[in-house]
Amino acid sequence: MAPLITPGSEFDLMWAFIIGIAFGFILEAAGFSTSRKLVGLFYGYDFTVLKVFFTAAVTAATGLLLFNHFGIVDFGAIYVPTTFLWPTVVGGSIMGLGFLLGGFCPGTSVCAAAIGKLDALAFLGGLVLGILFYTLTFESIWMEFRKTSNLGVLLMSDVMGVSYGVSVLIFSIIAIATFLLVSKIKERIADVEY
Amino acid sequence: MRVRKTLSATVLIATGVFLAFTGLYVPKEEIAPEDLVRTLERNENYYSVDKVAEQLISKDPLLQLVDVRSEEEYNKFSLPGSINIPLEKILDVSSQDYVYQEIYNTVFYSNGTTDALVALMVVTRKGYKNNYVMKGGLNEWVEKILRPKHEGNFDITTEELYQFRKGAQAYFGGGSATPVVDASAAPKPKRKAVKRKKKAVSGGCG
Repeated sequence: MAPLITPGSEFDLMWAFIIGIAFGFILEAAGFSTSRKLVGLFYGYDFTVLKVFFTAAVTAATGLLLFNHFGIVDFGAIYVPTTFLWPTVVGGSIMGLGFLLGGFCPGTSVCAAAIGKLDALAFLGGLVLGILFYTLTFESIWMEFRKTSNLGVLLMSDVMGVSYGVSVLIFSIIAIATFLLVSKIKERIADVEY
Repeated sequence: MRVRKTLSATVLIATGVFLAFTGLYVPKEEIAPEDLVRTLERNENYYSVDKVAEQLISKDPLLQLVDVRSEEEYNKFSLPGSINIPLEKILDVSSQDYVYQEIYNTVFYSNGTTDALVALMVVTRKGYKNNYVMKGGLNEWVEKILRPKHEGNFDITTEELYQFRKGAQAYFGGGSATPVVDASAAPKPKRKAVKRKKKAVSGGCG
């Protein structure tokens, strides 16, 4: 049955447009166009980001396995990106730093710019500069580095040495425990006005 | 609110437990008929006789030629270095080393294209990779490599191709050799090659 959308067709951009609009709408509806909410996780006064992304991951993992169980999704046909350890660490740190300084991640900045936030527009400008910097220094810095410490296709279940199902169960328990923990923390701190 | 949260957590954990005790569903190895047709129509599944000649001359270590005709026909004439797996034996255990592997490029050939294409269809249906068909078969091999003719257009490409074929003819001892090829047994189907766009996979976070 799946995939419902075959990549490589002329409708690719149309699907991307529809999914993009839906994604942006949900981001905005979840309050992700507010930089104070986004960086709240780092300063420990708002845990929406953590909850949303954890929920997304657990839902996707559980959903995929369920679909696979009923023969709707072929697990072997799912594309899993290769893990490049150090490039990921460096890239993640740069992304995290930018997230913290600017208060947005790339997707949410576009979302916030769309509703007219000026700080998001400035962030988008920085994003373009960043892309330009990467492009200009690609050959001298990144070209070789981005291919180093290749761990191949690596999944949490492989690292833990358990089946997909067990790893999803463990992940779900961790998610629920984290949600309980952050709601306890949230009870102890004063509400922040945005 | 509290009830809803407890309910969500319970459902999540229950699903997790269910998934932890069920195995992964692996679909049968056969590919869907429409995928099979798409695979067979793809241009990259074909080796031209020129490509085969070129790889034979350069002794390409990855080339594995498989003659799918009968043993009798194979003994009368075959391409250098080829092995004989008659079509009806293509799925035999003894043939697995050649058709079910990931190192060599196995190129099937017959008198025309048909029998080799049947062989490709069978192994593709089994999900085996790295198998190809020599387009036009031995008929085209004789016509283009062993008895090359100039195609008339005096542009560089045609000229180069002709010179290559003349060289290949000398290499394979064409001209004097008159291989027995039963042309009536294998009509050459004209196929329209459908080029597919390459699939691009991408992903990322918001």
